[in-house]
Amino acid sequence: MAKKIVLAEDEPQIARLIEFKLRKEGYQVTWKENGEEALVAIKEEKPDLILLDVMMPVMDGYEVLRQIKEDENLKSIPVIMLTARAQERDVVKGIDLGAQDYITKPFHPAELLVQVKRILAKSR
Amino acid sequence: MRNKLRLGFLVIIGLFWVICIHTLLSSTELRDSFVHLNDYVFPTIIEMNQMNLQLNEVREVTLSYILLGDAPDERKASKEQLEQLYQAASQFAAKHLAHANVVGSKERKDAEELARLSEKLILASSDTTRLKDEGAEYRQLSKEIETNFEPVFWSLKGLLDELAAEHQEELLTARAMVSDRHNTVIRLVLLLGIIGTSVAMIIAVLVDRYLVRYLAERKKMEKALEKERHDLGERVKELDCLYSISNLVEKPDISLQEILEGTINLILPSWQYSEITCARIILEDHTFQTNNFRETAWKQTADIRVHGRQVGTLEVCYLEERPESYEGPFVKEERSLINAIVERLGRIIDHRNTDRELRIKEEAIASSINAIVLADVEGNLTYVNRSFLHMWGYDEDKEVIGKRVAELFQEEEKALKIMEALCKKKSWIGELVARRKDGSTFDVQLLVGLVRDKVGEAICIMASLVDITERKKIEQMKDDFVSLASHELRTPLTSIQGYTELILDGDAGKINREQREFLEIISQNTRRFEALINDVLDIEKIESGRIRLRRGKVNLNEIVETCIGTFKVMAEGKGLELRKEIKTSPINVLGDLDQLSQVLSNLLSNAIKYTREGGVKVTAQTIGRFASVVIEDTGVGMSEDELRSVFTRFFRSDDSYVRKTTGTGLGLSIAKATIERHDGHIKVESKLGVGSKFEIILPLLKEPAKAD
Repeated sequence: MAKKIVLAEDEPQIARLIEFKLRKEGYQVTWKENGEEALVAIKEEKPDLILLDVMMPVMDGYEVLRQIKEDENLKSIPVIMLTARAQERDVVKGIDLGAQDYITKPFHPAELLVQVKRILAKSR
Repeated sequence: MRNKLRLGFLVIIGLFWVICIHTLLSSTELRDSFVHLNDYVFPTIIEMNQMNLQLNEVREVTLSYILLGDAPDERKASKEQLEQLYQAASQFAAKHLAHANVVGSKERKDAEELARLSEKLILASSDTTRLKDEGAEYRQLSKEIETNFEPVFWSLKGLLDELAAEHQEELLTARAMVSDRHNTVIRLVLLLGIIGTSVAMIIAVLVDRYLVRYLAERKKMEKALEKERHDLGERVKELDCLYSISNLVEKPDISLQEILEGTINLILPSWQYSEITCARIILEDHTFQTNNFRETAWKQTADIRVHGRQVGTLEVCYLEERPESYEGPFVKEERSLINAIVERLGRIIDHRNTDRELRIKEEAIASSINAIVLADVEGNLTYVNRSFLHMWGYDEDKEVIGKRVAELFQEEEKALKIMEALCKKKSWIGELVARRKDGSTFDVQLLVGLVRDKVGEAICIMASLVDITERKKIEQMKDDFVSLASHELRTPLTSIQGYTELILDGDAGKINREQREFLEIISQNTRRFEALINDVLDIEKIESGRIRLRRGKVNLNEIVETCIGTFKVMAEGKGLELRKEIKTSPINVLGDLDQLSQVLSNLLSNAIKYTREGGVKVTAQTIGRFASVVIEDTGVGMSEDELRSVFTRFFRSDDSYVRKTTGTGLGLSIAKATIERHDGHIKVESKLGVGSKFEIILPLLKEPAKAD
């Protein structure tokens, strides 16, 4: 059964890039444009992995992360943060909040794939 | 010497007195002898002679009386004559007896004998005459004469002769004595003369030696005193003149011109002949002179100097010659006075210049755009300038003078610490939050330092403050902009890179060789673009201190090894030799492994990049308490101009070869900022066309001593 991944990313083109790469590898990807929608989707789908952009409208990545980690049903789902390298402290903040890993933009799609595979393998 | 002299003098005086007393005694004896001769001997001799004559006469008359006839007249006459003679002889005997009044003496005995014999003779004579008158015969009478008269007469005569002889001898003795005394006195007088003369001579010599000298000394002193008095008079004049000049200078708001005019008029009364004195001061282009000024041959000049440089001249002239002065037309005091005046004028001019300079400096400080504040060494405000009042919102400096410097700031404690730290350090530069009079705050840059005097003693604290509110705002805006820009740039970049990679990975279908080549060019440039953005953000973060160092024990040897490994392929690809020279023992420093590795990578990458032939050498070693890593290349090198700006942002070598190479121009700035955050130091030496040498110096890690 294909692994389910929820992707929260406000930039459609970047989202499309990630979605494309992951789908190609056989993952089932649900893309949401903002944090709030993403949180709803996560609660519904209970995915195997969450890719969370930090800077998003309506609800940012941290808030989504915090809520996931507060939810007993969701908190075991691994989260990879997507961040611009500028906000290094954001990375630290993300890890502190319970994110598994982070990927800085810009990234190679292949790199992202390796990361995703690794995390999923670990969490199994 | 003096004692011997005194002793000699005393002996001489003693001798003199002995001689004097002796002479006195001798002369007394002589006088007594003369008195005796005069009172007794001479009259006695005369009396004896008279008596002798009278006795002879008595005998003659008595004898002739026997032969007289009976004529009564003749007898009567002879009798009267005899009576007179008796009387005279008695008187003489009585007188002589009275003379020899010393009872028991030989003179007295002789006198008594003489008186007895005289009486006896008179008795015998009168017996004879009485017998004649009674009519006795011649024979009887002769017999009477022969038995009574004649023996008495001759006895008396014998006595008289004897006495005469005695007196004669007495005279002779007296004469001899007189002669003797006379000689003694002459000798004494001579001796006294000699002694007196000697004493006089000695006294004269002494007088000559002491008195004359004393007088000469006294005269000299008087002369000196006279001169002193004169000198003092001149000196008083001189001081009076200088004092008046000083008074002139002290007048508030007096101009230099007024001082010089005043001085000119003060000069005349101070010279000996004021009525014929005139003076002139030439100072740069100005001339000040007395109304009677006329240049004459009897002129005295002196230069007015400021710090050894001549700025003017003072001339004093006598309008007439004064030949009576032996020192020349001007006396010494006048020469010294003119020098004193020019010296004083020089100082006044110097002070005026200094005052002007000080006023300029003071005004410069007062009107400085920076707020300038002075405080005493305890940190109490003593001065604030206009900009300060404006910036802090005070109306008058009175409101803040005397307050603590720390009170000017929001972070009083921090300000206090800075003030304390000033004692150890010379200055402090940094940013603080200032607090205005109304309590509002603003950011300032503070530059504060201790002001020291020539011997190094702290006099006061001086602070220069700049309102950096605007700058801070701009900085914040810049930071925000950089942050935003980098984020906004990343998003399209992520798409460009991601999709390019997707195609390159073949995820979007097969691509031909040329498509791949071109896509790779896109990918490569995207990466370069990304590196640029990263570098810009890095340096921003490092310089603003926003990046936190993850400090730990770092072995520089390991970093060097790793870096060399990374760049080996790159160097070999260019045909360069990459050498390392490291110690076997670890060179440990306290630092951020990633950041230090980044610095070394930057430097090594640059060295390989800018070297066409030759090689690159990395040396790691310890120097005292410091670690040193040297990266040396045989590359293009840098000119002096380039060296100066090598660590500034976006520095790129002018060399065309270098220009072709890739790079952001931020690597060295980042390296410098990183090393400095590690309390280290980076330096560079380079020669165009020869090569460059970068050296990193870091403090060694202080490892605790191993406990075995």
